Amino acid sequence: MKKYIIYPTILVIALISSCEDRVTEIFTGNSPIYMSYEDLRQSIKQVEARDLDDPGKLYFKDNYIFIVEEMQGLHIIDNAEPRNPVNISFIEIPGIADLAVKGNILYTDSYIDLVALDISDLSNIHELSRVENILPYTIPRFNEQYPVAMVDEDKGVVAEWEIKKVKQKIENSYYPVYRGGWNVMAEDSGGKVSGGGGVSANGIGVGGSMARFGISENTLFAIDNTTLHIFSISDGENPEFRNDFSVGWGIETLFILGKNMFLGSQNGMRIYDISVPNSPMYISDFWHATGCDPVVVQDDLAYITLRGGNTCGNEVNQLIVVSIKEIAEPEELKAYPMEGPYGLGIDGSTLFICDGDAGLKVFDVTDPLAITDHQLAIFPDIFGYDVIPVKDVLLMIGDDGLYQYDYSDVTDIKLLSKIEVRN
Amino acid sequence: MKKISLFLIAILFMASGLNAQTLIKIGEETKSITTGKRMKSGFDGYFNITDMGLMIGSTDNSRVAPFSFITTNGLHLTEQFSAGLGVGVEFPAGSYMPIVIDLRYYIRNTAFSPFLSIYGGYALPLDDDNGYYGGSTAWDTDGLDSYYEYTPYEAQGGFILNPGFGIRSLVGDDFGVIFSVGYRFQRLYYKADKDRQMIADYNRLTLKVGITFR
Repeated sequence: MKKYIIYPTILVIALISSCEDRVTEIFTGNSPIYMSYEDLRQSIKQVEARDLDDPGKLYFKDNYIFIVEEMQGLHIIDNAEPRNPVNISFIEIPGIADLAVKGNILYTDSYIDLVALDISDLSNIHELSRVENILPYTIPRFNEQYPVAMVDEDKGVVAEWEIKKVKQKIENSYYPVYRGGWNVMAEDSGGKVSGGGGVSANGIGVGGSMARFGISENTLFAIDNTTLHIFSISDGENPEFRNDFSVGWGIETLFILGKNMFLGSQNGMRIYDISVPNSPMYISDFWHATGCDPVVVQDDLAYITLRGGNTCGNEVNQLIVVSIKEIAEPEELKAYPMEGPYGLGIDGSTLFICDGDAGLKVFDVTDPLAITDHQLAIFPDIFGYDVIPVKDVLLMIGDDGLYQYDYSDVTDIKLLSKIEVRN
Repeated sequence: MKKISLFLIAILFMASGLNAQTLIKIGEETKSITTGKRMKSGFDGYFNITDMGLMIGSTDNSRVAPFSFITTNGLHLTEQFSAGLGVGVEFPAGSYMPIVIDLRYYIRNTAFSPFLSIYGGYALPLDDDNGYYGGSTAWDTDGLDSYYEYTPYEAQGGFILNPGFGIRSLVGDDFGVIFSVGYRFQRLYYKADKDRQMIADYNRLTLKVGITFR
């Protein structure tokens, strides 16, 4: 009798421990092609200028324009003559999304690394140092018609995708996991731009309103969707990681003005005091409808554009003017309907908005309560993503190229030049 | 709705089977079965086995021990060998109705006998949505944020194979209890949009208790 109980019991215990389910998913989808981490860290090199293909973030310093080629590298444009910009070089930087420049050192992201590049000699741009494995894991764009296969981060970064039949084992606990996003860098968008030729050893460049990196004095800030990554650049050639700081959810853009940092999130604008840069202090929030929302700030007013649709939430498309005179209690002054705004920029009383299919719009914001009554110009055929107004020249990156406008006379804005995107 | 109706019909069929077998006298030489004395097992007779239990697996599994209930109606083809058709309800991941062919070999033709068994068949899904999460990674359109995508797979059903062994102990002329242990392999298919499918292989240890009517 005992043998009928003892033996099965032993067998039961042995079997249970090995009884694991196996769930396999099969589909045609985006399958990753990896680049090893070793290769990634040997990959930055300067090559001959190439045409714009998939331009992303825009950055300006001195007389040079830097245009991110999404996940590929960085175009360098000599803009000494805005009427005749010259595409002079390209730096291959796998995984780049944004950049910021202080002095003659350019900080950028290369997938999960923060990289410092020496740009004092634009014919010999080279890597100075990098902080490895400090930024969120990101992937290149994929074919949205197909699902995306699981990514094994141990194999390296995803250099590209191929569409193929994917068969993958999946885990049993399929509760949504948010791994945190990453984008780019911005700069002190309100910073002053130094003049003169070449990339000077002084000053901070200017980025667009969609930027996610910012430089304030000797600190470089970089945000992802939830976290502010803080680096010391006191020793500019060797940035040092200082701190990760949780800043909420759905953070999209960063704008620094003086000692204040303005974060554009999907649900509002969040303001921090960065007097102590390693430990930002929360000041206030301004909540609005869900949307994609870059922010620019000038004096006591913040200008926020909301874009709805797709991944941006509901269908609200607006320009919101917010008074930050009482920075602890930001107050909406007025909201204006827009078509589908992306980036924006302000210079004095002139506000530039990339309003999606409606084109580039220019407003006089002298009266913040009647902005749309004072539209100075509209360029309906231009689909712009972001703008940088600097020294009477408006830089605008759009889906078909880099535009430059002379707005020294805001009643007669003139196209200076255009660098086409390769088709 | 059609699946639920099918399931209800199956339950009715099982119930009628239970009633029927109680009316049938099987074996003319049934004796004191509790003593284990040799007896006729009613090889030409009808039987029903109704058992329930757990399909136990590793704690790493999404469902560690889902419930299983199967009732089998069949015939003894010989004194020690029986074959039957079973239906029931199980919950490996969602609700399923297993339909299986059950084969058993009783090592002894006595009231207390070990047996070897194997049953296999197909599990029909009773729910359209089995609440299963597809696992591929989704990324937002700029490729910078990732999360696991919820893919509402529709259950298609799948195959069952369950070898095992157990003990039958008769405690009356027409009644007995059964304890069994088995290994369950079950492959369930799920389908989502386009050409997207998921295959779930379950490897489980089944522990069951049941009753049998002869």
